[in-house]
Amino acid sequence: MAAPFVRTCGTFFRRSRVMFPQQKPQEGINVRLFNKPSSRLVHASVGIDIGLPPKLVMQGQQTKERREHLQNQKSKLQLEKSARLRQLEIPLDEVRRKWETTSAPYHIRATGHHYNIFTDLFDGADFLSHVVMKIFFECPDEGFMPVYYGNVITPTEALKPPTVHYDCDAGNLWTLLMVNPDGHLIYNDAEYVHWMIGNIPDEKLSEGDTIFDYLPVFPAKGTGYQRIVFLLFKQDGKVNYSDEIVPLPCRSLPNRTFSTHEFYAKYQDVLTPVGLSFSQCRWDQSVTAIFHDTLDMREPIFEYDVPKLPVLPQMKWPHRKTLNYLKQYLPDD
Amino acid sequence: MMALMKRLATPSAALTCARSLKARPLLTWSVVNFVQRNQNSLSANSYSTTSTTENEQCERVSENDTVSPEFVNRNPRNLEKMALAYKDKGWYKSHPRKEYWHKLFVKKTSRHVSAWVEHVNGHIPVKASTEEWAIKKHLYSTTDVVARRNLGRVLAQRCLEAGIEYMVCGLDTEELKGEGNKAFYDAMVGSGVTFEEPKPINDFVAKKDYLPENI
Repeated sequence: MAAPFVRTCGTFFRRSRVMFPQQKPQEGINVRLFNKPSSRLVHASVGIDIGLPPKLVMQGQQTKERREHLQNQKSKLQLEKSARLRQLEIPLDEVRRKWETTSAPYHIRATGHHYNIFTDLFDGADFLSHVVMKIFFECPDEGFMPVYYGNVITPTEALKPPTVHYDCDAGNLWTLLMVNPDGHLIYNDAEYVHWMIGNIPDEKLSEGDTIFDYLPVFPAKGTGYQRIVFLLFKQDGKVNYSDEIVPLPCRSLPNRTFSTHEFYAKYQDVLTPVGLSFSQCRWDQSVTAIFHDTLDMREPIFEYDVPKLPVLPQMKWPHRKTLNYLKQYLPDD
Repeated sequence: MMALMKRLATPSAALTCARSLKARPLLTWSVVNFVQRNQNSLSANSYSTTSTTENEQCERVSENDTVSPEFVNRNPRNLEKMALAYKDKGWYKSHPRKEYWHKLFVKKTSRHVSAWVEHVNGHIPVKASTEEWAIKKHLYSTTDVVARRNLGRVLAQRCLEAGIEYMVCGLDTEELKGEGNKAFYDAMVGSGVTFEEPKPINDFVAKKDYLPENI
């Protein structure tokens, strides 16, 4: 993939000492480890596929049909003319429609890993999202803001619940879940559940059991971009969510504290994740109103703590070191 | 279709070990200020150095009002989007350099053209190729200029859907002189992708001068 490394000048890299050894940090110092282990290796469920298996396709027949199609393409004069004159523009919406049935599950899984969705929500276990959800937020100024796989949306657009469409087999029940894994104001590992509807027949969200009503997104000021994840689960029959029911409308953040891992571990016999969609969200003016009016609390404002780069313990006899070496150990005046 | 009953692994020693490794947060935010209702948030200057002790002594408005003084945002792409993340600058004496967050790679074989965006850590969040049936079925040839231009359009759409708007181009100036690469590049730029990454904020921080000339 990448070009092989080429030594462009005669540098001699001395390997007499590891640059940043894994030393125990002293208390009170926030040490940033450069040689930290891969975040995917420390999670216990890595490698487990919790989704549905890929659909069975008659490979021979499909290859034959595709080959015929391509041979027909070659004989189409209009197509050849537009290609040779460099005017051919393929229809992107049709490409996307075909992509959804062929490569989308694998691409969405790769994007999900890039954003650490599976490590944070399912402790490393991933799945192929065979059902591609079409989620649209209605904007105040007459437009639609879709949710794909990491695009940025604003809280102003997400004040009302979105319309959700997906290709469903008739007669199945579904569960829709919307969580924010980054926004918890107290615990680092917990999530906030913004919307949960269970036992949805086909696509009719209004006929499902609303367990958590829609709460708009409220990324705190200064914290940056937080992920908003939409999960669609396929149910194996009707599921009794009586353990999860809270008094609605739920505006209490302790009640909204959620762990997708624990939820899925509890219902993993009857639920299978089939759809994944997520976006990123950042503070804007409407979040202040959500904190003050909807959640009835003061709005917190955060500032980034710049981590100090690690510094090796000072050597008593710094052999062949310049004055720059001593600069690291001067006090912060 | 029966779902395969794949069970989540039960918490094991590996997980408890992981918990202790994660105990030191890498990206922390500290509470600077609280904004009361009916108060103009702009007047409460959030980036001033107010102490947090006075906030703790304030009365809580409701049960929701507890906020931890330290906040950790687990989104791995957050720091890059805020331009606070470091870029891997240490490879300046080698080729290729790694001073980027996302980079576009293009591979051309005799029959197909592939393009993908790779993160400096090695993840590939977005990719497109003329090997895919969704793209191949609309093309006359999978290697000509038109194929590359359309591949650029498709990849740009997927990049924007994945939230990747800024990246570094893996095609150098010599390669970009070719018609196919130029068509691909123009299609990506025309569809909304920017081939220049923001410079990290840390680069703008003035270095402390410990040995000024005039003491």
